[in-house]
Amino acid sequence: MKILAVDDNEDIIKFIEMTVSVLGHEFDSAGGGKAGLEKIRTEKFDMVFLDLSMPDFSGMDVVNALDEDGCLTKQKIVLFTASYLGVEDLEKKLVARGVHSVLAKPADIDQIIEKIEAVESEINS
Amino acid sequence: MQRADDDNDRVVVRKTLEPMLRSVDLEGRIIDCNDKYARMLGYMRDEIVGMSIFEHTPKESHNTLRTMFEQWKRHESINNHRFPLLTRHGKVFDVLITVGDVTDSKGKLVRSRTILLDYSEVSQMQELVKVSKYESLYEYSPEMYRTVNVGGVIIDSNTAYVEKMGYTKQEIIGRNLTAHTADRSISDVLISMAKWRTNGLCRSSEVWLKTKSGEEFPALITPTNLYADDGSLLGQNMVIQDLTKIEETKHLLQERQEIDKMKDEFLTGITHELKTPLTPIIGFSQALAKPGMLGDLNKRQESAVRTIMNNAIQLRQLVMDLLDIHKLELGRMKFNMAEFDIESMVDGVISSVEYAAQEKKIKIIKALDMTGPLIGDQFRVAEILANLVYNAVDFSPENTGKIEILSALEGNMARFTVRDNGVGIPLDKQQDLFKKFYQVSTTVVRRHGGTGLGLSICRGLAEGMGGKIGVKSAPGKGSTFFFTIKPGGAQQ
Repeated sequence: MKILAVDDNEDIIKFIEMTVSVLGHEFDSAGGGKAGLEKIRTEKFDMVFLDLSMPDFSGMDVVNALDEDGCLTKQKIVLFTASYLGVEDLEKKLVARGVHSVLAKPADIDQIIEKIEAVESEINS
Repeated sequence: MQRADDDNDRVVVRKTLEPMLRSVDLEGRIIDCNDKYARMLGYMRDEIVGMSIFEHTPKESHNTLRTMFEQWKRHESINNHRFPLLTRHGKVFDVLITVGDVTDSKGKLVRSRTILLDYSEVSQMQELVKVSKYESLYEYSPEMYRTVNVGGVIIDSNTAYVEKMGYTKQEIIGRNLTAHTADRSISDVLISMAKWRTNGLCRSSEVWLKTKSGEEFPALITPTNLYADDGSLLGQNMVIQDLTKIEETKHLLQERQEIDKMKDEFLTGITHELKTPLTPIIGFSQALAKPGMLGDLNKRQESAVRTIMNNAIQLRQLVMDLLDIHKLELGRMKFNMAEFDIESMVDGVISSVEYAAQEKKIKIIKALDMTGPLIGDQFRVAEILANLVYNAVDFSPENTGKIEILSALEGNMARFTVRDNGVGIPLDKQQDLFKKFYQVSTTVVRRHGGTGLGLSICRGLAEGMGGKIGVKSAPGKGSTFFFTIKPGGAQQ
């Protein structure tokens, strides 16, 4: 798989890169929402880890832009966020709009591995 | 105050309204009367005895009197019946008549005992009481009153108004009400007065008033119209409620809401900032500790990495607990209701504590009376149960420790119980258990490193799901923790 991580925290990018490469997948990253959106629009990724809280152009902006493009559901966007999404059932609403799933930071490495494997088996099935 | 006044009024009425009394036999002859009766009818008391009651009744009312007399003989009650009396000098006046029975020892009617109240005295008195009541109500009401004419000139005000405004009554009467209105409200007052003069409609409004010393205060003004006998508009009576306290309370409440909002934002922000660096700390330390993932570590390295990992996980738990406590306190905790299987939920909890229990060779026994589907927030029910089981593991003895997990339907509540044979908890410590940051004993080494928030969160969660949490324990006799939840949630 080709996996993209969009996060403004370099150490989190490094951690995802390590996990992804140990599992034998191809990795790319973007340090902000704008750059991330650009990559998603121009390249083909099997899975995207998307941070929500980023300065200037947030993960939510990325989701909205992809929704407007009409290609949100074509992506496997996993929101990897430290934000609380229980308010007003935000998580359910985002998933209903076409986000793949939400993974809360700080997650256990096993949860991340399981998530990657789940997306992989979805693609293969 | 009001009651006492009422009682006083009644005493005054009773004293002045001395009733006329007469006693009448079955033939309608007066056997006896009091002095007032005789006086009112223009006779001496002696002259009256033996007279017929018809002699004291104007001719045109004789038929009515006959009917009433028969009613009385049939034991029908006559109470405050308005009826005319005729004096010796041919004058007629109305009374309110009430007829009572006098019977012999066998219950046979012997004579009447009739009470007659002078109607004009009664109505005069009522008017007096009414006026004096309203007057004192107006004058001494704790609420401020002022009365204005159609021109907006104050023609009267009460003591409360005088006291609050700081003027004497003489200074108040004759002034236009704008003189007592704060500048910011003058145009509103003028507009509403002009409207009132044309359509006569009274509306409550909030207005800023100004006292003699220049102090401004908010007030709620509720006007009612005053009309002349010919129906023309005379003015209005205004009830004025000082809103200073209400405004202050509103202000305080607003401030508190703002502080709460700031606290909320601070907590949300700070926990976000704590979670972010914890992500690579937990992730990398788990990667290092995971056999084979990033290469083998020697024993000391592995021990060091595990220590980092465990502490980071404990820190993560603290952050999550803080957020949960915060959400519970604000009543913002969301429960995801869905049907789940009790037994598999319990199995999940057992497997999560299995490692810790096995290390101490503690037996965990499942004794579920209630199995099968339950509607509730599975994650949160499991969280409470896991907390209780973890605590039981911590406080149970090695090798001989035994923990039982029970479930039962109790009324319409699902009840879960965790019983251990551990150290037990003294009675005086039991209530504190569910308070924030409380730990029974720091001498007991806690394996999973509690945050001290666990049980207080459990209580919040149980209550949030319509149930409660409690404990029965004694030192050396183990502890039994239980919690209940309402199937379907608190709203059901």
